[in-house]
Amino acid sequence: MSEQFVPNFDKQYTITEKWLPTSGMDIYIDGTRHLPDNSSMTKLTVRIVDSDLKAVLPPEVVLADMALSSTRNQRFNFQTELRLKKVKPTALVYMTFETVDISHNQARLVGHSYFPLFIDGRQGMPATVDSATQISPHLGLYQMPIYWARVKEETPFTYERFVYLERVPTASVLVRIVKAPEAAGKAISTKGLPAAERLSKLIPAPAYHDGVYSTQYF
Amino acid sequence: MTLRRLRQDAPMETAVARLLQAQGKDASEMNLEQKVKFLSDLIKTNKKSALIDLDYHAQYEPSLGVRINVEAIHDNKAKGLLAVLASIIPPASYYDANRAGPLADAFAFSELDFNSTTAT
Repeated sequence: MSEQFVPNFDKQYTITEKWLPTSGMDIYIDGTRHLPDNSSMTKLTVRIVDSDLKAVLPPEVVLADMALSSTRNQRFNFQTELRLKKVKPTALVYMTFETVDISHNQARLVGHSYFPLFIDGRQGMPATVDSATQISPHLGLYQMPIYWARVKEETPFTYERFVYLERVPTASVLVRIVKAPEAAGKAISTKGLPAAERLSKLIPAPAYHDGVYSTQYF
Repeated sequence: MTLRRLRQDAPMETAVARLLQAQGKDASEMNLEQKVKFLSDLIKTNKKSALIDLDYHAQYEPSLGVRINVEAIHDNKAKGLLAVLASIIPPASYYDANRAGPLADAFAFSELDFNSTTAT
C-alpha cells in the first residue's frame, strides 16, 4: 500500500452520542499533506463559525512547525478547545491556508478547508440548520480536501459552501475531533495551565501511514 | 520553472532560509521568534490576492507523458462492430515512415469484449 494516500472508510463517530451543555470537544489540526510544489512556509488561520458567520471562538493563526515540516507535508500541531454551554449545531471549523509562492516570492492564498463539528442525528449528515435538535459531536480523525477557491462568505454558511469548489490537487489537511477529558461528568479545560503541563495533556498526532485518518470526505 | 521530477520536498528550515534570503535576510542571524514574526508579516493575503499558481503544480512533464485509453463506445446507433483508431497529432509518430522497433506508445487494439452489445 502506498504511504502517500492511505484510504480509510471506517466510521468515526457514533450518531447516538448526545451533545450536552456539559460536553466539550478538542479540535486538533495536525498538518497538511502534499501541498503544491511552489508552496513554502504556510500560515493557517482557524476560525470556528456558525451558519451566521458569527465567531464561536476567537480566530487563531499558526505557522507550520519549522523543525517538523517539509514544504509538501507541514505540521501545525494546532489544538483548541470547545467548552461552551450553548453552541449552534451548524458550527464548523473554517480553515484558511496562505503561503509564499516560491515561483515569484509573493504571498498567495493556497485555499480553504472546513470541518463541521456536529452531526444532525435525524439526517445522519453534518447539521445545516440550527433548528436541529438531535445533534452528536462529529468525533474522529479525518483527512479533508483543501479547496482552491475563495469561499463565498454568505449566510447560511455551512459545509455546503465548500463541497462543490475546485480542489487543490492531492492536497489535504488532517483534522482530529476528540471528546474532551472529563472530571465529575464535566468537560475540563487545559487552557490556563502552564505550557509544559498543558502540552503533556494533549494527544499527539498519529503517524499518517498508520491509516487512522478517515478519507470518507476526501 | 523547475521540472517536476527535479523538485525536492525540502525540509522547512531549508525552505525558510531560502525564503528569508529572497527577502534580503540571513536566517543564521535570526532566532526562531524573529523568523516567526517576519514570516507572519510576510505571509499576508487580502481579498484581492491571487490564489496559488496551480500551473506550476501541474506542469506537463514530457518525460512522464500521458496515456489515453478509449474504453468504450456508448449509445452506438450503427448496429455494427466499430473499432477505434486514435492518434496524437502532433507528433503523429505512429505514422512516421522512419520509425523503428515495435510499437511501445500506441496500441491499435488491445482487447475486444465479446460481452459487449452493439450499442455499448
